[in-house]
Amino acid sequence: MELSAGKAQRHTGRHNRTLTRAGKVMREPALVFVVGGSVALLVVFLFLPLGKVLAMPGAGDWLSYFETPRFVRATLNSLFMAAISTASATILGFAFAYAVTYAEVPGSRIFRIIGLLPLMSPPFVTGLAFILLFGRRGLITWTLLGLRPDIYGWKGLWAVQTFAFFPTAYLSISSVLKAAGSNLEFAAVNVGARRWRVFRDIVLPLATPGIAGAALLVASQVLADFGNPMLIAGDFTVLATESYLELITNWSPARAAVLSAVLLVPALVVFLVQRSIVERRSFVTVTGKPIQGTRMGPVPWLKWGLTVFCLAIALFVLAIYGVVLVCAFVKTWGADFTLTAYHFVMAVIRGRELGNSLMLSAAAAAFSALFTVVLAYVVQFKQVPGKAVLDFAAVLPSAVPGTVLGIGYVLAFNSGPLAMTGTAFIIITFMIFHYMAVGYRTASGMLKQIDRGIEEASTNLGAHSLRSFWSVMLPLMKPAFTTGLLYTFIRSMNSVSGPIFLISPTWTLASVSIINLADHGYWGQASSLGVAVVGSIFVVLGVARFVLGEKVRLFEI
Amino acid sequence: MRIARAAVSVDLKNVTKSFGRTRVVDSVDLHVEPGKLTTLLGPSGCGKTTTLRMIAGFQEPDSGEIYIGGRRVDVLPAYLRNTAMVFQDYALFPHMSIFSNVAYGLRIRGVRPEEIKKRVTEALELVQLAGMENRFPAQLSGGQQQRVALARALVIQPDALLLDEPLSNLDAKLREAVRSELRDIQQRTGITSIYVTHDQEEAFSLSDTVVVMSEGRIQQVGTPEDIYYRPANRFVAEFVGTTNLLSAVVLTAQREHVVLAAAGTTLVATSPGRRFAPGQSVLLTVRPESVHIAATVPPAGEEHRGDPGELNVLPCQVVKTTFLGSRSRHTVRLPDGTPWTVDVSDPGTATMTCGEAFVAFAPERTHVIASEALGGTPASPG
Repeated sequence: MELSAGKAQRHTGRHNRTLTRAGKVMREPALVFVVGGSVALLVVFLFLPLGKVLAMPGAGDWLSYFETPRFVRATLNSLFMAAISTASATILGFAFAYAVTYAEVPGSRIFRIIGLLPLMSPPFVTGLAFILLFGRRGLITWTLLGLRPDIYGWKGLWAVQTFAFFPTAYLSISSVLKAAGSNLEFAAVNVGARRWRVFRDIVLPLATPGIAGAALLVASQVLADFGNPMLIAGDFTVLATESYLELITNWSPARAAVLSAVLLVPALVVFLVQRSIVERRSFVTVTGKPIQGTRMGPVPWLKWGLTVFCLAIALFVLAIYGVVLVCAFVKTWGADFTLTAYHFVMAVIRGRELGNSLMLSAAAAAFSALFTVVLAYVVQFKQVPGKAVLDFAAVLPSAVPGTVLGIGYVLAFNSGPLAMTGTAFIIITFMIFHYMAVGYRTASGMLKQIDRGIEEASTNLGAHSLRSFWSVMLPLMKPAFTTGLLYTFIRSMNSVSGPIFLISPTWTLASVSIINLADHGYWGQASSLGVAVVGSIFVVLGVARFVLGEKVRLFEI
Repeated sequence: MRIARAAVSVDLKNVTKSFGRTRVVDSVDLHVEPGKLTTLLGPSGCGKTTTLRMIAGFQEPDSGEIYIGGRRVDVLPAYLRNTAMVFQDYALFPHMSIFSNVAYGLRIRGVRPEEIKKRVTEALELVQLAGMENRFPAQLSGGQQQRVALARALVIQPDALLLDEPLSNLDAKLREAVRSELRDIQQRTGITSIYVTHDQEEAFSLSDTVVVMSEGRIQQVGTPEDIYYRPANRFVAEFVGTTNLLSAVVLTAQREHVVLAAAGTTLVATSPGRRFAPGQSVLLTVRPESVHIAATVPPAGEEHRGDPGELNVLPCQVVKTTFLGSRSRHTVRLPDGTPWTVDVSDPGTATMTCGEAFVAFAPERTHVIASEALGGTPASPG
C-alpha cells in the first residue's frame, strides 16, 4: 500500500476511459432500446399529432379565425363556461369535502363513496340525466309539473358541468383538508382561538394552494369536455364542439386545427399553473402528520346544515343514476313508463359498441400501464439524457383536450406511411397516449419512495438490468401498474371527445354512440348503453379488487 | 460456511472520479490484502463511498483501473463483478421472504434448488437467523434486517464483500453487538472485505487495515495502532480521536529520537521511520490520555516507566476542568498559548483546580509530523 503517485499513469487513464465508454453502451442494450423506443412512441403518437394541429393551417386559416364571429364567440363561450363552472364546482366540492372530511357529518362514509361515483362514470351521463329530469319531456319539469322549460343553453350546461365535475374538486380538496395539520389547530386553540378563527386562520390558508390546484383541475376538464356541450349546450357553442363541427360537418381540417390550437392555449396555461402550484405545495405535507385526537368540528347548527346539504347532493347523484337506469327500461320516457327490455336489447345486446369499447379500452389500458411504468422507471432510476423532457412529455397529454389530440390524430394518420384511420389501432393508441399521465405520475411518485439501493442490491447480486426490473422493480411497482391500468380503462370507456373523430363503421364505441343516440332523441337506447358502460366499469373495478386482493388506490393521486 | 474460492486481493490503480468539477476520488492507489478487512475511514464527502461504489460497479471511474483477484473489473458491468454489498439501508427486497431475499443471488446464478436451500439455510445459521425463512423484511427488527443483508451478500461467495456504513442505522448498543458479530463472521469466512465508515471506533475495532481518506485522497494506510499513535499528517492526527499539537523546531535528530525546541523549552520526541533535519518546522502530537498533569513540579516519577530524565515537562495554566465519570478532562494553556487537552483516568474526587500546573509526557507517546503536511499528499495536483 502506498500513497498515490499522480502523474505516472495518465496515458493508461485515457485509454481506459474510451474502453469504459464503449463498454457502457454495450452494457445496457435493453436500456438503449427502451429509451429509444419510448422517445419514438412519444414523438409519433403525441408530438406529431400536436405538431400537425399547429403546422397544418395556413396563414389564411389563422386569419379566418378572427374574421369568423362564431369562432370568436365559441372561444369566449369556452372561457366563460370554464370560469363559472369551475367556480361553482369548486365551491360545491369544497363544501362537500369540508362536510365529509373535516366536519365528519353523520353518514360521511356513505357520502364519500357517493361523491366518488361520478368520477367512475362518463361526465355526459350527468348531461343525459339532466335532460331526462328537466328537459322538454323531463320527469320533474314535464311529467310532474307540466312545464316545458328550455334547458338547452349556457344555464343548463353550467348546471350540468357543476354536477359533473364537483367530484373532481371534492376529491382533490378533501386530500388537502386531510393533510392540513391538526396539531396546528390544537396549537391555535391552545393560544385562545375560537373554532371559526381556527378554520379561517389555520385550515383555510394551509388548504388554499390545494383548493387552487383543484379549481384548475376542474377548469381543464370543463375546457376539454365535449359530451355535455354536445348534448345540452344548444346554440351555446364552445371550442370543442365548434371544431368538431368544422371537421365533420364542414370538412375543413385546417379550420378545425385552428380552433384546436386556440383551445390548446388556455388548456396549457391552466396545466402549467396547476403544475407549479402542486410543486410548491410542500408546506402542507411538512405538517401533515396523521391526525391524532379529534379535530375542531364546526358549531352544531352548521354541522346539521352540512348534513342536509350532503344528503341533498347524494340523493341527486343517486337520482342521476336512477333516472338513467329507469329510462333504459321503459318504453318512452315522459310518456309511457311501461317496462321493456327493447332498448337494452337493441343498444347493448344487438349492438357491438359495448364489446368494442371493452376490448379497445382493455388493450389500451394494458399497454398504457406497462409503458408508463417502464417510462417512469427509466426517467427516475436511469441516467439518461433529456430526462426532464421525457418527464414533461409523459404528463403533457393530461393537459391536451381530447378534441385537440383527436383532430391531431386525424391529420397525422389519415394518409401517408402512418395511415391508420378507420382501424382499431388508431383508437387504441389515442387512448394509450391521451390517458398515460396518471399512470406515469403514480409510478413516478412510487419510484421516488423506493430506495435505489434495492435495485443496486439486485445488480450487485448478479442480475442484469432486465432481470432486476422484472423480478424486483416491477413487483414493487404493482400498485402503480394497477392504478394506471384501471384509470386508463375507465377514461377510455368514457372517452368521447377524441374517439368521435377516430371511430369508423367497423369500430364504433359505446361512449360515442350514447352521445349520438341522445342527440337524436333515442333516450332509451342511450340510457341502456350508459347503464351498460357504467355497469361494466363497476364490474371491472370489483373484479380488480377481488383479484388483486388489495384496495385499489385509484383516486388518491 | 464453506468458501469455494480462495480469498483474493482487491487493487485500485490511480483511480480518479469527478462529479462535475469536483474531484471526489483523486488518483487513489490501494491494495487490499486477501482475506483481510480493510476500512475506508474519513469524514463525509471524502470519497470513501464513491470508491466503494466504483469497486461494486455502480459508478465508473473517469480513469484508473480496478482489479479483483488480478482480474480487471472496471470494464465489467456491476452484475458480473461477483462483489456483494451490504447497504446502509439494508436494501432488502420488501416483496420477498427472507428465504427468497437470501436465495436471490443464487437463483440468478442458476444454482440447483436443493443446493440453494442448503446454502441459504447455512447462511441464515451463520447470522443466527435460522427459522426466519418465511418472514418478510418488514416483520424483522433493524438488527435482524442487517443480518439478512449480510447473509444475502455472503451466500453468493463473493470475491469481495463491500460494506457501506452498515451499522449506521442501528442504535448504539445494537451497533456494538452487530459489530463484533460482523468481525467474527468475517474472520471465519475469510472473505476479503472493504468497509466504509466515518466512525473511527468502528474502524479500529473491526479492521486489519485502516485507510484514512480526505478530499478524495488517501491520507494514510496502516494498522489501527499506526493510525492512532503515528498519524502521517495533521489531518489524520486531528480526524482520529482528540489530539494535542504543538509547533516545534527540530534541534537534533538521531535515529528515532528527535530533540525539539517548543514552547520556550526543549522536548524529546520519537518518530520511528521518519527523518527530520535540524532547523525544520514540525508538529509534535500527543494524545490527551498520554499526558499527565500535576499541580507541583516535577510530576511523580513513578508514573513514568522509562528514564525519568527523558520525561518532558511543561508548565501550563489550567483553564477548565470537566468531570466525565471514568475520566476528567482538563483544558490547559501552554506557555506559548497553545491549548491542550489532558485526560486523567479514574479521577476520584481529586480534581485539578484552575490555575498554575505542569504537564508531563513520555517521548515514546509522542509523534512528530512535518508541519506543512496539512492533509495534503506528496504529489501536487499538477
